[in-house]
Amino acid sequence: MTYPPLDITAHWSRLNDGLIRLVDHIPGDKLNWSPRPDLWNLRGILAHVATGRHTWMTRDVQDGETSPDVLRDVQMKDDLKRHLQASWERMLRFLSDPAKLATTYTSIHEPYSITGHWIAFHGLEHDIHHRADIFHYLALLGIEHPDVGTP
Amino acid sequence: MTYPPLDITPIWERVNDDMIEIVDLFDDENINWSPTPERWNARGILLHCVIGRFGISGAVIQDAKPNPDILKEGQTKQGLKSRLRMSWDRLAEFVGSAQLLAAEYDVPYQDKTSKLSGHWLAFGLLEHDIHHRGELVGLLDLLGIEHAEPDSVERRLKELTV
Repeated sequence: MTYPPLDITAHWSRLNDGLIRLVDHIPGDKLNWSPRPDLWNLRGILAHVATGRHTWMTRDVQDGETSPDVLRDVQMKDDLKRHLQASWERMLRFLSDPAKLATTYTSIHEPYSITGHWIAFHGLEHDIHHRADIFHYLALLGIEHPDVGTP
Repeated sequence: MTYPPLDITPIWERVNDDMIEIVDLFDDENINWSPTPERWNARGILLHCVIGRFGISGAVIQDAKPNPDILKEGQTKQGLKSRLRMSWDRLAEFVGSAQLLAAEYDVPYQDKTSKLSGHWLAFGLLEHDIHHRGELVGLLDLLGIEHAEPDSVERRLKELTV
């Protein structure tokens, strides 16, 4: 079956805004908390969201921009919020360019290739999946959080 | 600002395949487990996903199709899997239609009714699926049950290598 393309990037942008606001719901002393020793903690998940975006843009899209050292630079909640915003803006430059979305990328996936649209899907899936992790952890900690959906 | 539309629905379909596979990772006992009494268990999350899809299709998109008795039929793992497939097929008719996506819909939310485009609705449905798949994976992690990475692109690439 074929499907029409979805006009959803503006909504995704608001999802990123919600993700950044979610950082404020995490108590500072819980940033390193995880429910089990083998699971990532809250700081790690949020840093992973930002580094994941940079990695796809550097490794696959090869957009020519420099990736910051996110893992070294996320000691405070404001650092996490800044990196979430900066990495989103970099993604948005990619998502705004129809030619880049239509391009086929190979890089580490050789001999298989994926389109820019696939990369976009992966980015969105990654954001929502790890936001669910954050909600899950906040609930386990008994911390109230806003509605899950994107307004 | 406007952005180019994203050709992603064929990959979204794979999220549903993931959820169907995840059903089998729970046994008949731990599918009713939740980490705290006020949190939903896996069965509840899966039923909620199916009910959400049928609910939006019927009440908001108004596709004039009857809703099955999901709570009754979703009590077995086989029933849950079958309803996940059926609800995706119903949703696919909506996200497969450029005309339905371009239409505007009345969506009741917290004592108000808002007008949302079909594209916005599709985003909400996609967000819902991925969010709750994430919750299911979180429960599997807490139970110490191994699972595949919830990564639809990786999944597709692995299929290509077979």
